[in-house]
Amino acid sequence: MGRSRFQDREWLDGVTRTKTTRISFRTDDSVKFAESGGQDAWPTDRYLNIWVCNIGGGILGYAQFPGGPRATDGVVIANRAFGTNGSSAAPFNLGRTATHEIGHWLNLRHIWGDTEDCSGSDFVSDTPNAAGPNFGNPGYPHVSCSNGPSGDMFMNYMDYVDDAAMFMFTAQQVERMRTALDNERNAF
Amino acid sequence: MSKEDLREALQKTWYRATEEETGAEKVYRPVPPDGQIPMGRGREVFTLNPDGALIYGGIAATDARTESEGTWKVDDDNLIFYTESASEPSRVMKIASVEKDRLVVKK
Repeated sequence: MGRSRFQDREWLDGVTRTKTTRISFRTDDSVKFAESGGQDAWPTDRYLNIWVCNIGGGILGYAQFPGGPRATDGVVIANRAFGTNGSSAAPFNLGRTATHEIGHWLNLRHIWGDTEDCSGSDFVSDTPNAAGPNFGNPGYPHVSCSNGPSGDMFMNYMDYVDDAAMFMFTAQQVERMRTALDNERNAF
Repeated sequence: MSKEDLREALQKTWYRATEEETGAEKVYRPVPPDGQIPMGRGREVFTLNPDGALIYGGIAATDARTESEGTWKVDDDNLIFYTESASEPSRVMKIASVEKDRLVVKK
């Protein structure tokens, strides 16, 4: 019987802590390199790298889609939006920033299609077209782009609502993530 | 408020405060002196300089900050941004109200 991942010493050592003189990081990937005050990635064809740090500008996190540069592959999460305890702070203290960013890492797009009108698409067939992001804890329904009566699927992990208000991926989003794991990310 | 007073009131760095929005309007707050913008998904920021220069910070499809430079002007009640072309506005926002610490525009 092979070792499980939990028995793998290397896996257990997968959390590293880096002291830095940087007060905060921008979204320019400087956190991903030791020479700029961050930490170099572990081999990105074997590991999903998650950098946790203070990010400036009110940013909660950011990701990299499949197919990007190897040295920067992974996701970055603000320490105050990571996990459910410690420095995490409401309304972003339920771990949903990591869920959202890893969704991007697995090739998911924002559910409104990244335009401020009805022209954008998330390339998923079972999510309703939406005119833009939703924030906070929206009232149901919020109709846009003739998507009534149910309206925007703002409770989807790929919208911009608070952690407590998002709770689902659709079947086709799951299929899109599986496709990424079968192709660009097939080493995982 | 005169056009000059309006222009002067707008000259600062604003971030979008979606947590204060109720529906038909967008709310912006000035970035505090310490530069610490409260955490929020999709935080839009922009700096309106006295010389008409604009720095616009948006959000990329991966949630990273995008930054583009351009110009801004006020025409009637409209706050107009030019980031892609000097003649074609990239964004036109109808101003509902401006206070020292709060800008409200119609969606």
